[in-house]
Amino acid sequence: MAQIEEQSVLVGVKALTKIYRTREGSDVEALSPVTLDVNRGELLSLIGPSGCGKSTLMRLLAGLEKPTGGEINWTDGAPSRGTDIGYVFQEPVLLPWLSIQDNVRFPLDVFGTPKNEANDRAAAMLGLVGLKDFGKALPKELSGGMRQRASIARALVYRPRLVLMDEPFGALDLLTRDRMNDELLRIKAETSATIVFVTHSIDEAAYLSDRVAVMSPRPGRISALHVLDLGSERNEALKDTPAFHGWLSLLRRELK
Amino acid sequence: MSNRSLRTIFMFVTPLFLVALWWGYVRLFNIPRYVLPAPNEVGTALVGLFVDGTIWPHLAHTLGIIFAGFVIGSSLGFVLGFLLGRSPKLERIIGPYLFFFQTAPKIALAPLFILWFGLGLTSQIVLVVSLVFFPVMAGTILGLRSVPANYGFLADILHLNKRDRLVRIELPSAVPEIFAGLKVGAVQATIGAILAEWLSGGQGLGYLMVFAGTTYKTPLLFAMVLVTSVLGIAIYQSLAGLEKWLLSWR
Repeated sequence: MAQIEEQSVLVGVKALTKIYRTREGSDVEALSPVTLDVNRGELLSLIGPSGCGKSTLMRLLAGLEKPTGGEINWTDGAPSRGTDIGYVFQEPVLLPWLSIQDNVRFPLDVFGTPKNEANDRAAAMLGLVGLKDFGKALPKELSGGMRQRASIARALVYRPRLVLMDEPFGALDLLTRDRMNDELLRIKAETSATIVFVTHSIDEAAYLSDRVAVMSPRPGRISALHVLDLGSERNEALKDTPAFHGWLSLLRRELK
Repeated sequence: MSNRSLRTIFMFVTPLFLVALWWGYVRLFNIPRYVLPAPNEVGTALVGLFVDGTIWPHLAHTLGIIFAGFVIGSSLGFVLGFLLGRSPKLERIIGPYLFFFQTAPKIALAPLFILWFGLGLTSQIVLVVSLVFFPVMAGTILGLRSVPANYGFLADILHLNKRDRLVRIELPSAVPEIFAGLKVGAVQATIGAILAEWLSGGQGLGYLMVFAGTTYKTPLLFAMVLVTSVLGIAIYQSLAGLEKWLLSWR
């Protein structure tokens, strides 16, 4: 536990609320006060049923919406430019007219990174996600899993301070999903990126996360926050351990 | 026999059979030449058009009108489509009027164009412009409106400015729909150009057809039908080829 206390906070969410006004004029509380710290270098999962405010919290963290109340405190100053946040959607959202390499390079081109550097970084990123030989391919020529790798590469290529992943593997088949989970752990270890990860899958949350925030709906809030003491070495063998199964059943109970 | 060789055979046999049928009908029933000429007479007229060079100035004239009308019409269509696609408010204001003109048969407007712009090139080009304009405008509006919402989300995350959003995401994404409009426009331009020449002026493929018709040179008229059809197909196919190359990512 000492190790966790040493960790420094990247962004702190304090008493954050979000109220949407519906077309009929009534208010819907999407997020009732939520307080949560995201630590540097951790993978924090948000798990919960639909309508629990996961997506709202992600949008607020990304700065795409303004909170109704509360505050988001960034230790190193509020993000102001596009380079600060990386976002991986459930769909890859690659631009179909660009090659995989150009898709990964896209943020760097937008930010005006010099061409040579952009090329090198995109190539390195493609190597990291295992798409070294597919840079020239078009998105339509790749499988769903490969496309999602490319979209992860695009989110990481500009080294954002925080990477938000909104059910990134939700549209993949189970086998691919398992493989992508291992890939993600490896990528995270190599880049030491800070990741907030939304998922519906208890298994995925337990396997990947340093911490898991369980959320519940109406109004959306965090009902439990767990530090997963499963160590930093995660592989298939972990899935057969009693500790892992203990977390699975605990999380399952809490989601009921 | 394989499917493919069968198809090759039919590719040659079917037209030959149809021509033979045509020829037999004309011979057997002694159809007058000015009603339905025999295929060989149409062939002679067609070859003659190119051998003595009659066709070239007319073809050049028609191509010129098609080109000018297509370029002006699609540019205007793109610009207005762009403005309307970006501003639903503007579309609500002027949309109904545009819709009125879009549904009005442009052919019926041709006499009006002649009244306004005279019997010369201008009115011919204006007619072509009016035909090309609407499909390109509609394609542009549709293209800009059907940019996937996801792309906008990506642009938000990357804090894209308006210009980058437009140039890097929205326009490329709208290209397929714009091209669909251009293809329709090109076909319309060909029809419009020939029709405009039909109505006014002393040159062009349309004029040559009127000339052949009114002087009972029916073989020439038939040859001209062939020429204009091939021209239409060629124009459409060149655009389709360009599209295939530009949109190879689809």
